[in-house]
Amino acid sequence: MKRLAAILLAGVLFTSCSPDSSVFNRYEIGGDFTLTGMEGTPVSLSDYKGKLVLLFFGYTLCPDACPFALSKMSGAFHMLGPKNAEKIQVLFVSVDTERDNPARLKEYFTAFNFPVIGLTGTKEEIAAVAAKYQATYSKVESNSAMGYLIDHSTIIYLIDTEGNVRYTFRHNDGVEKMVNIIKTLIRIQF
Amino acid sequence: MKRLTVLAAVLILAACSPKPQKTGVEVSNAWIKAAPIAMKTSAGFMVLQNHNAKPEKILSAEFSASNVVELHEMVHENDMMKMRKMDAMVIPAKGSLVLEPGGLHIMFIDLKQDLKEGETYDITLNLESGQKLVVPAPVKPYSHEGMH
Repeated sequence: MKRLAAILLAGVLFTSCSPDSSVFNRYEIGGDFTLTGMEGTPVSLSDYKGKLVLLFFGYTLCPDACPFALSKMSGAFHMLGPKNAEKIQVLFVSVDTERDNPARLKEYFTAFNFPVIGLTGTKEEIAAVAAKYQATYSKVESNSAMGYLIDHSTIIYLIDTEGNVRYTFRHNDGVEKMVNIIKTLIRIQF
Repeated sequence: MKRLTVLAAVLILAACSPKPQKTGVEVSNAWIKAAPIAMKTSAGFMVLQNHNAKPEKILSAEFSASNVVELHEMVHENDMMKMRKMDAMVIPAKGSLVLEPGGLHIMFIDLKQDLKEGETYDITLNLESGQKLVVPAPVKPYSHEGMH
């Protein structure tokens, strides 16, 4: 009997420690926001309640970090398969308020084969959303033909069906890790 | 007979001379990131090996499918990605220089056309020594795992 209790206890402990729950931290960052979408109309995070959201801050002339993050997300969608993919929406907040208007975002994102919406807004609106998520960016004057460049943070935020940040993917996190964590959250929430 | 002597001399010389030492700058693993014209920018990557005893510099590059070509460097620190334009890239003497996603790259700005997987374009490097290095580079998609 004692033995059974020990096994049961071990089992319970093991289950509660499995990656299913422990992988997700509590985040003090995040929250709802409303910006302007690619059709020029308002888009809110809360419009996607019931879906998981991958949120990224970048700009369309970004040569490297943004295409890389988007390509990782594209790879993740491919690996997750269409059934899981329909549970996820990607939101790309442009930190380049001068150059990325809705039309430019639309032109840029037609190239991608997964559900991604580019968002723009006034300088103040973007700054407020970035502050909520502790995303950082700064405009850097440059002698490049691109004009100014923008240094920006490279975190991909995984947001649950209720609008809470549940995971932050770092630049070096690979597609497989992304897929595993997204699948875990899907298992928990759907 | 005289001819035979010359031949022998040539043979002996060939046999005795040390292996020809590589000189100049050698390029391998060149590729270009696939990008539709709507993305406006793309980049070229490669590994450069300098066999010379003195450093070599890439001063500029040429690429027919974009209006502007620049030398750029990415630096990733504290979860921030920073990009800077460089005046030149140095390939150390008897050393190598790696251009790869997330680091140094030849930046193509204002694309004139789609860069599609399977196509090959020449990237021309203008070296400080005056040499023009023409590097054929295939267009490939970004590898999801390939960035350090």
